[in-house]
Amino acid sequence: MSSPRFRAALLLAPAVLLLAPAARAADEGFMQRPTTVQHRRHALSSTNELAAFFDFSVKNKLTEHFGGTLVYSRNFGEQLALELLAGGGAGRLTGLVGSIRDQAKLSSATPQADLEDAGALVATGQLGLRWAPVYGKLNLSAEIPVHFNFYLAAGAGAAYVQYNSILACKADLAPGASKCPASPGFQSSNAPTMAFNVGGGFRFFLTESLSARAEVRDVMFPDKFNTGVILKSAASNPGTAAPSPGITHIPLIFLGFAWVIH
Amino acid sequence: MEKATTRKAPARFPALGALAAWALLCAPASIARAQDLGAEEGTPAPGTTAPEKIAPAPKPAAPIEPAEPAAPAEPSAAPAAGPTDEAAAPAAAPEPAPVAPVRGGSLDPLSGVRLGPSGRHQIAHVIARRMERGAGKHELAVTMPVQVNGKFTEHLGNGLEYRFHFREPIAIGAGGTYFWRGVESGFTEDELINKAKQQPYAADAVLLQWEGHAGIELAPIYGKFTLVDAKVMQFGMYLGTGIGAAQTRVQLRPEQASTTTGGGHPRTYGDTGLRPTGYFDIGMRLFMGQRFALNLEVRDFIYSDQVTQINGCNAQDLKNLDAAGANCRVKDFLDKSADGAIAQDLVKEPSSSVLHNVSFIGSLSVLF
Repeated sequence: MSSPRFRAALLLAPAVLLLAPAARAADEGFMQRPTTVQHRRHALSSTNELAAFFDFSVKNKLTEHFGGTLVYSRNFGEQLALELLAGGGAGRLTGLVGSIRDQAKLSSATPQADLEDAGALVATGQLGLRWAPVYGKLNLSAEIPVHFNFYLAAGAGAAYVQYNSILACKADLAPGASKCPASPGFQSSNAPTMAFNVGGGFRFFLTESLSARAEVRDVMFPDKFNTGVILKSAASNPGTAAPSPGITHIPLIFLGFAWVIH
Repeated sequence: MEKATTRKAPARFPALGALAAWALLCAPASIARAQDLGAEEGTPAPGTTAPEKIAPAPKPAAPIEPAEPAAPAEPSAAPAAGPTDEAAAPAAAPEPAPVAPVRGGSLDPLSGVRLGPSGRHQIAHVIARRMERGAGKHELAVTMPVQVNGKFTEHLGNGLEYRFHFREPIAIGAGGTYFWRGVESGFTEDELINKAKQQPYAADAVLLQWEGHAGIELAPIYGKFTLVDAKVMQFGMYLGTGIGAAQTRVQLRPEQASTTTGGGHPRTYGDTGLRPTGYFDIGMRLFMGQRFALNLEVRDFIYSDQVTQINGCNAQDLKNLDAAGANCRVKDFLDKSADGAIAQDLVKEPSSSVLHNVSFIGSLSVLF
C-alpha cells in the first residue's frame, strides 16, 4: 500500500494533472498574453533617416496647397527623434475666391474688414520632435505581416507666406466700375513669419531601411489681414492691419517614403 | 503480504496510472506548444541581441512533435500555434510515411508544401491567436461624430450603433445619430455673410438634423501593438458601407445676441425634408478586454439635396406667405417676414448638390 513507487505516483499525479490543463490553457491562449510586438523587428535607435513626402491640403476654404517636403531625422531611441523639416510648393487661392470676388460689391465706400485666413503657404522650415509611443504589427489577408509604428510630431520654425487680400484691389476703382481689373489685380504680399506644426502619422516598415509614411500635420502661422478697407479706393484707403488676426491653420496630408541609414 | 501488495498496487489504481501517464505525455506536449506560441514573440530585434528565428523545441522524452526548425526565408511567419497547428498533435498519433528531405525541411510530394521534420503539415500564423473575439457577439456603441471637412457647415452629435458580428471579419448593423450642433460654419457666418455679404448655395449648406442607417462591416485586418513598450493592445481595422435616411434643414439666420437697440434671436432653420443617404467608413477597433472596445473611424456621409421647398413652401408660396398653399407650414418660420425673405432668396435659384459630410467618429462599445 505504501511502496515508494506508489507514493511517488500519488504525488506526481496531482501535479501533472494540474500542470496539464494549465499548459493546455496557456496553449489555448487564455492565460498567456500574446507578445508578438513586445520585441521590435525594425530598430530605429541611433539611426539617421531621410524622408521625402508629397503633401497636399485637405480643408480648402480660401487657399489650397500641394508640394513636397524633405524631413531629416535623428532617431535617438526607438521612440524619440529630432527632425528637421523643409518643404515648399504651390499655395494658391481656391475657386471659391474667384466666385467671392465676382459677386462682391467692390464699389462699396463703407469701411470693412477683409477676409481672414487667405495666406498661402509657399515654403517652411522647422525643427521638431517626433515621439513614437506605439509599435505594432498587423496582418493583411491573414498572411502578410506588416510592422508599423504610430507617432506624434511637433515643431517650430519659419515660413514664407503669401498674404492675399480677397476684396482689396491694388488700384482704386475707376468711377462707376464695380470690378477689379485683372491687372494689377488684388493686393498681396509675401513675407517670412514664424510657423509651427503639430501632427501624427503612421510608418509602415517595408524593409530594414525603407518605410512608407503617411501623416497629417497642421501647419500654422500668424494670419495677416486689414480692417477698415474702403473697397472702391483700396489702394488709397487700405485700412490698418487687424490687431489680433489669429492663426491660420493649413492641415496637410503627407505621403512618402523614409530611408533609414543604419 | 509484501508480495500481495506488489501484486495489488497496479490492479488497484489502473485508472490513476493511465491518467498519470496521459498527463505526463500531454503536459510536455502542451508546454512545448505554449513555448512555440511565444517563440516568435520572444525573438529580439536584429541588431539587438539575436536574429529573429524560432528555436526548435528540444525533443522531449515523450514522442511528441517538436516545432519546425526556423524558417530562414521568412522569419516573421513564425508559428504561433493555432487550431490547425499539428505540432501539438496527440502524442500517440502515428508517424506518416517518410518523405524526401529537402533543405529547411521536407516537401509534401503531393502539394509541394514544406513539412515539419516528421512530415506533417505545419501552418505558420502571422499573428498569434486572437484574445478578443467578436464572432457571434453583439456590439452596442455610443458614438460621437465630428465633421472634419466642414467648409460651409459644422456638425457635432451623438448616436447609437448596434452591430452583430456573425463571423469574425463580418458584421451587420444599424444606428443613428442626432446632431445637436448642425450649423453653418464660422467661415460662412463670419467671413462670407458678414464680410463678403454672400452666402453659399442652399444645397451646399444643407444641415443634417438626424440620420439613421443600416450597413455591413468587413474587418480584414487584425493586429496588435504596444503602447510605450508596456501595454499590448489588439485591434482590428474595418471597412463599412450602408444606406439610410436623414432629416435635413438649412440655416436661415445666424444667432444674434441682444443689444441695446434690439432683441436678439437664436439661429433659425427651415426644414428641407427627409433625404436618402449612404455612407462609407474606415475605422479601427481597439479591444480593451473581452467586453469593451474603443472605435475610431472616419465616415463619409453622402447625401443629395435639392432645395426647392423650405418648410414645405415653394418659391410661389414664399413670395406671399399670407396666401401660401396648404403644404406651406408658415408657423414653422420663427419670424415670418425675416426668415421668409431669406427662404425666398434661397429657393429663388433652385440648387442641388451631392454633399459629403466627412466625420471623425469616436465611440465606446460593449460586446456581449
